[in-house]
Amino acid sequence: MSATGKHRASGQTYRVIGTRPIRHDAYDKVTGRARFGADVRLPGMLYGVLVRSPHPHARIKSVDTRRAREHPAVRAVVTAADMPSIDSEAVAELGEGAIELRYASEIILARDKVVFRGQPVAAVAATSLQAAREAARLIEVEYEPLPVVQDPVAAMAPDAPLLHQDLYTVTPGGGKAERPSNVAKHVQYERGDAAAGFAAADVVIAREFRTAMVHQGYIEPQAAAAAWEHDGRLTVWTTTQGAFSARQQLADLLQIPVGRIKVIPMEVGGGFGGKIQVYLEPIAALLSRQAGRPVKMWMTRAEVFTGTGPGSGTYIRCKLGAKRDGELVAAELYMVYDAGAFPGSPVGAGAVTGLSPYRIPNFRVDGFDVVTNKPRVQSYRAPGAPQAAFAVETVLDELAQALDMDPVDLRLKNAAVEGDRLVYGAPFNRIGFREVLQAVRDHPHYKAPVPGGAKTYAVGRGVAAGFWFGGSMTSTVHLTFNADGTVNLVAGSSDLSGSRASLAMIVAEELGLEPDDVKPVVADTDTVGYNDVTGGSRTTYATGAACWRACQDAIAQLKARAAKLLEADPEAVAFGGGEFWLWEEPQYRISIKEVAASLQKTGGPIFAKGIVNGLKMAPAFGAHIVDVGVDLETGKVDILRYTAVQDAGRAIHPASVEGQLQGGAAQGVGWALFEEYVYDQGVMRNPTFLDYRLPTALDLPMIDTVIVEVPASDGPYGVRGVGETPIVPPLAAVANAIARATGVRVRELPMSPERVWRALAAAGRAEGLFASHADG
Amino acid sequence: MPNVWVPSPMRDVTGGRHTVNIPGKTVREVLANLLERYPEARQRLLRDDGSLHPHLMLLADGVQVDGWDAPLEEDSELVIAAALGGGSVVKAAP
Amino acid sequence: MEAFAYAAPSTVAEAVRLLAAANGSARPLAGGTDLIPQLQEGRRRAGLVVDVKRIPELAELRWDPTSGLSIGAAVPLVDVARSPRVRRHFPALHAACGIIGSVMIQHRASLGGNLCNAAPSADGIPPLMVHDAQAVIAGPGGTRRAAVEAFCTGPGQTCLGPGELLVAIEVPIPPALTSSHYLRFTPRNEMDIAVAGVGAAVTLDPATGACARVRIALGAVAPTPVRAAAAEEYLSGKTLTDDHIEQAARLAVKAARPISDVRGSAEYRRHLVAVLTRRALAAVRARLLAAGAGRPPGQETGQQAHGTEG
Repeated sequence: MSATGKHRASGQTYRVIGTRPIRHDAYDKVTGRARFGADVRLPGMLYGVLVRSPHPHARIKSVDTRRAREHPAVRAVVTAADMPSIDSEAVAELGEGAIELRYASEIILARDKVVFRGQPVAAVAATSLQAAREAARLIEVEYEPLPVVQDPVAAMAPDAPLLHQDLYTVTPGGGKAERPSNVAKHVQYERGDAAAGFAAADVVIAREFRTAMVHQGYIEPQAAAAAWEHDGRLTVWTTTQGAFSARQQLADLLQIPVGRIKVIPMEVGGGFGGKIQVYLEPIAALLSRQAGRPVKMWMTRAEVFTGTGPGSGTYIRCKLGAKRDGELVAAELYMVYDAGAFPGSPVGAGAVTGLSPYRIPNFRVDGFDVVTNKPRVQSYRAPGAPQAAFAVETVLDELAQALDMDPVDLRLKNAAVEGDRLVYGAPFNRIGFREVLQAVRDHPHYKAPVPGGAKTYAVGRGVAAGFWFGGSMTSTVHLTFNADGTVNLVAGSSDLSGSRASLAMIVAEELGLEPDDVKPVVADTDTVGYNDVTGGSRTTYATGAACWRACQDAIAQLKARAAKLLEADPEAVAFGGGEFWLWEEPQYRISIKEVAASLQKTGGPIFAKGIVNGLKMAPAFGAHIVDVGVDLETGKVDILRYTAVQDAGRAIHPASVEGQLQGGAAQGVGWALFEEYVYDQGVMRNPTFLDYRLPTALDLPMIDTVIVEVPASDGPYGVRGVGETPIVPPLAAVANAIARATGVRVRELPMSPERVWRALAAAGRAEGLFASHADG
Repeated sequence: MPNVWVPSPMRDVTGGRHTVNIPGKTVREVLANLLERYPEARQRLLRDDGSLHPHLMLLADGVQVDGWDAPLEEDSELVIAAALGGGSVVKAAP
Repeated sequence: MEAFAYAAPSTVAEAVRLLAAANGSARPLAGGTDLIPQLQEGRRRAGLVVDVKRIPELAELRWDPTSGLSIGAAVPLVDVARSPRVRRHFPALHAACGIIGSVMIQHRASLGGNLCNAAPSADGIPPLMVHDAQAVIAGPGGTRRAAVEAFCTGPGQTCLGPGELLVAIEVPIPPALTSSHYLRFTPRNEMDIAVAGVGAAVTLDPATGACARVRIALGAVAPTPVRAAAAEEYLSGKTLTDDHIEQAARLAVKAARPISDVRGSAEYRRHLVAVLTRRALAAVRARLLAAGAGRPPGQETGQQAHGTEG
């Protein structure tokens, strides 16, 4: 397979866009000079350590910090009593995700009761990490354990123990249930008449699915430092997907004005949605205020697993009905999403993304947001969508088998096009789902015969599709010009994936410069205008559009300067390819670099800005093809060949797009085959990267990619955000491949070797020595 | 006049219809006229203080509405939908 | 991690003195790939860490044409795996040293450390057991030898007494017509711990072509790596036919006493023992055949089975 994939260019050609320059952050990253969250060192800095609950569910009877305070190296001790109490039902908008503030506050420091194991109860700051850990052990917390609620379906039972006495289900109509329960919300979408639709269907397939709670698996643990000055200013250094979101959360949780807070974003070693919610930042701030010195904190890997926000585990029932020719006529989804200890699972997005890719006249979707004694979930790359697609795309594959249809043809027959409404009612604008499916059908991988297996090794091919909305939200960028013609690009979007390079390329394209002439900076909250988080696949799309607008602003200003230098009216000046010239007399021309060098003589510096505050969505569809081999004796699944196809609208930096497709597919394969929070009575049994298995390079083939380009309806160049979609199809694609290889459907994730082996054995498909232990 | 998409839990109010045509030049005007025609919808749509229920969102021609004075054209569509909520609040729509 | 004292002696005697003086609170350190995470996670405590990498005897990989291989306790796995002698005479050990952890870990971790850590799932131990390896142990009372098979006494527990230090592992040259293999099962292809592991070594009788000596050792299915005695006994004197291998694989399960944990259920582990034993024996047979050992007597080349592999 080619390492670079195919790039289907369409229409207009560009000078910079579509090329593959070296990323601006590459030098620092490969030489180890990049500064991540834990690299902050400040004079007089203290080390903060948390005391976390050993119980998944317990009443806090007392917290005695006296002995810790007496420790000679300790400079501060905080408990929930030091956090402002939040009584309102105010909601913290995280940009991607939202949470009620009082719950967010409890996640930071538990007040009267702990609702998940690993929930912080107290914190200490000391002059060394050793001392802080010693002192943390001196804090005595008395707990009264309560019954543990672990499984989200069991949590819905009327007699299940309650996590929150004041939690009442929000009903689909916006009402409130009469009795408290663990069901925080019930969402419902309906169109047509599902019952009548199923009655008219020739084939109906109904199945149930379970997916495990999973973690984003970012390599860099959470880390933050805070310095609370005596005049009340608070400076926070943190690894975050959104400095402005972190600042707002700090203001809300600590009840101080945003103007007093400065958040300095550090390089981010992976986030995938998990680095939006603040965890350590408010505690470091409180410790710093008490100690009068800066405080740094970071998490161990076990703390990351048990104390941050994973992705929801789910229980989903999916029923689809089709006519004999493959036309989908009815659908039903019943979805339970585990929110962890506080409301806020992505069940809403799951409910919308599951069926929206297809035209289905009659459907009903019921989704439930359920709390359990586990860490409160956070966004994880296309939050909620992979679980829903696992169910829907698996049942579609079974439908294709039942109808004896090619699975891609079945999807093509029903694929949504521009104007078709999503589940929640709004119509799609321009989308490239059909083009993606056609690219799958035409791909050599899909056309190649499925490789042969052996007696104990079955090989099969699966496909599945999916999409993500592609959001906009708010972005601000500034451009300033240096005398040598280079440009400072000041943006507020954290760079998680090489976005600095893509943004610089847009500026270079518009201004007729080289990407290296543009110096992109991720600025702190005092330096740049408001920016929403890097999330929702929005950065290249929305911040990129802000860059494009800033360039138009810059060109207009530079034209006036060029006009002075060319001794003409600004209206007489044209711009293109990095040069200004006179419309009427094109022999009179001057380069943008020359204009930049003359700014002081022509009126002083130029400051250009670009602001985006709401583009239309740019949905990105993808479909994946995977060949698997299944060891029929052990149940182990090998990924033999993998191709990811996706609509990128317009690939700014194709290597970055390919990287996103490959990374999403890799995470999806991990979700499908390996990854799982193993729980026993509310206690996670595998909080290490040894037993929480991410796929390694030896578990994946080179992932081939195909970039399809159907321009988006809004924004420059037709760009679509690409980051989230690639994790949506893999779960079902791998499951479908296993089913095609073995004839056995596994409908519970992860499809670990033992689970696959048991499914094969139950179906009589397993080979080998199954009775070996019976007589042993 | 602008078209309003009504979410399924509110369809009983509109006689089972998903779309209704409601006059108005801004989101505010269209909402006011909608509630005048279907007074029972008020409780489902608005809180006591007159603000939109937090479980709902408004999309005007594909972009999430922040301020109710956003203009609507004759052929505009105003979608009332359940907010996607936790994990995926994205302020725009296809 | 809690603070600890650190020493890096340059002789065995000095190391033994330091270990003995610490009254059980000292831990030897070679590659540190097990010890450091254990100290960080509080699973082991150490008042003193004795770095043994500077002791010449422990860093030596030595071959003697009569006595065989001596592997210094601190020799990194990668040196063992890359040794042509190991590849030729001890294919099971060669296989194990190339799959522990990852390439990076193999550059750091030692086979001696793998043995002393005494994990039930240690990939290095079953291959040493099937090759009749001996541990050379220095202590306050002098030097002694113990069979690797008897070295581990429980999970994380060894026969090392107070002040004792593993100096080397000695592996005798196998008889002619011997080959071996080690297989383990892990969900992932690297950076993983065996759910079950099986080492097998077979020596054929040159006159009959039947199994003269059989060793089968199992990992991750008992508190320590264990020999599969019933399977060994059954196969002795028999030829390596499919049926015999199959029966031996079934019998190997008798030696397994697995637990159920996050890495696998007891039932699955027993099943894997059978599958891996069959596959390991089949691989050994294939190696012997490739070396010409399967031919009828009289056509024997006299060359060792593994002779063509070096």
